[in-house]
Amino acid sequence: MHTAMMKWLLGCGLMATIAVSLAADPAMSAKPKKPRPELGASAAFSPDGDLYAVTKAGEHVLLHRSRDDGQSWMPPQRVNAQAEAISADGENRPKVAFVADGTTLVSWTMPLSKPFTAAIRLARAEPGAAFSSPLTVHRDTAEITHRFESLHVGSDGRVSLAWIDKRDLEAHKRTGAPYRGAAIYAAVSSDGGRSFAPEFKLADHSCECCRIAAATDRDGAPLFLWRHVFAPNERDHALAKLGADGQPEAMLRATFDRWKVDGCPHHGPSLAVGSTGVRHAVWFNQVNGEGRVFYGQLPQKPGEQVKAQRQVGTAGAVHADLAVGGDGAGERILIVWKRFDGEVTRLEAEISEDGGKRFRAIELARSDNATDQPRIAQKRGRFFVLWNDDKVGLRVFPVN
Amino acid sequence: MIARLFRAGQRGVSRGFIAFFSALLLFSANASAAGKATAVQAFGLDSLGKIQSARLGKPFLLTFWSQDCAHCPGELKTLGVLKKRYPQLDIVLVATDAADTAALAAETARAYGLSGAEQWIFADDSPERIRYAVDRKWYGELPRTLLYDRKHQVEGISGLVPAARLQRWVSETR
Repeated sequence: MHTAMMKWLLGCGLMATIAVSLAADPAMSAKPKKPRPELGASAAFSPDGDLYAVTKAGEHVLLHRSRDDGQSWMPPQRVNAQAEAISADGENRPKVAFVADGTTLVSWTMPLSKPFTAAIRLARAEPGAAFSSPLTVHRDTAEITHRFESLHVGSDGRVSLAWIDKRDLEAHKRTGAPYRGAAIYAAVSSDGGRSFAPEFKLADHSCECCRIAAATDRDGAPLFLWRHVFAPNERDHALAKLGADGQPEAMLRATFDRWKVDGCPHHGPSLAVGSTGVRHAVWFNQVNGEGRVFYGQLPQKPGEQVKAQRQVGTAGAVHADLAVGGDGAGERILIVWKRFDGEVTRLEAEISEDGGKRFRAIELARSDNATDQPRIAQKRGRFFVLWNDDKVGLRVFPVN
Repeated sequence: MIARLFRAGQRGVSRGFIAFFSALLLFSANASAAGKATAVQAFGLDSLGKIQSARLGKPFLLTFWSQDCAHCPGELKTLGVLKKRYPQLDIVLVATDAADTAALAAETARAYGLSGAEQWIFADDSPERIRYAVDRKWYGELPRTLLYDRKHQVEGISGLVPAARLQRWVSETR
């Protein structure tokens, strides 16, 4: 810690001195030197039908509540009473979910002092009560990477979190042995998030800096989808399910675009399971040198390929999210993404009302400001798109 | 993090303050010795044009990197070794992080032997706005390197640049 503190203090000293050279630069003095807005937000409906969103303000996660589906917001509530660092930019964001009894769960990644290091935090509030002090969901206390958590509440009430973890990479570094990428670890709570059983590994060799998608499989069990590093350096996606006994089932390769890159894409996928078990997903990959968002129906077992894969939107589409509602022949699928067109950032969408056979395009909004990735929340089969905007705040667009 | 540091400070306040003032003194010394090497310039929509026009007819290598990119330290290490071997190589570094982390960017570059490289940092609230101005086919993957030859024909490479490709660029442009 002493070394970390020295580094931090050194940083302060550097900051003061470099501020002078930055201020002397005409380009820099033209724009105020302020932190970039950290707009990472998520949203979910509570069992009683109110919309909740979580954002970051300084060293606090804020919980926002709307009683009119996001058209107006009540004054936000602090989740962590004690200030701590919070990741909320790019692929990072706090998450919110509800247990069936109405208990609110909020998770986030808390960066530590060394680069890439962090811990996964969870706070809970029973209906009408204040938030508990956040707990760290993993037993591993090493100051290493535990980041990019995703939060899932199953229909059986189990609370699961999965995250990117570098304990195996660090162990290999100590022995000098090579290790590809990072790993995915998960922890499960069977008491509504009050406590977690020791974490376990879902898979070796994940990509290092992309968000993880979580969805509920047809049987209520959690499914996680993440960007993986298949040998030697194909950054496609992998899927794993936590069985009814809490044990992970074998990992399955989910996409086959074969983007070979020794780098960080910073584009994670999204996943939703339809009423007949179809695994609808959107993801970003580079194919023939072009970065594109794709939609497809992912394999159910080894040896299967992606079905109905196609490009979503035009060039420039990024950070797509997707949701599935309703059932049977009228199952609805919504895909949203953002696209900077050189002037403004557009919030674009496609909706299918026949289980994914046909989609029609919709433009939902535009912004001149810095914006977050869009997220979809669902209330009784109706879709609401959350888009956090630096100047406008939390915007919500119903899609019917 | 602040809370953690504060608690650490309580354990060793005097050591902390000594370290702080030593660091300030050390940095002042480094800064005067290195001269303009520590200046990190604000990278905006027109910055790539400025970087290019300052180097007409000359080859250079431009790397985008970030504190939040697990592969970037590896790329900086490779470039640092290259710079040590060929001190005349013109390397330009652009950090895609927020401008208020310029000090950390400079310190990281220095740690990899790249304090002699020209350094920039993104200065726009929307990184996608700058990326669009730089290269419409770049969607934020890092590191991202642009290899410019004498005629400013550019090859863009996402991820770590293979050592053989770097060596070939050095041989072709020297």
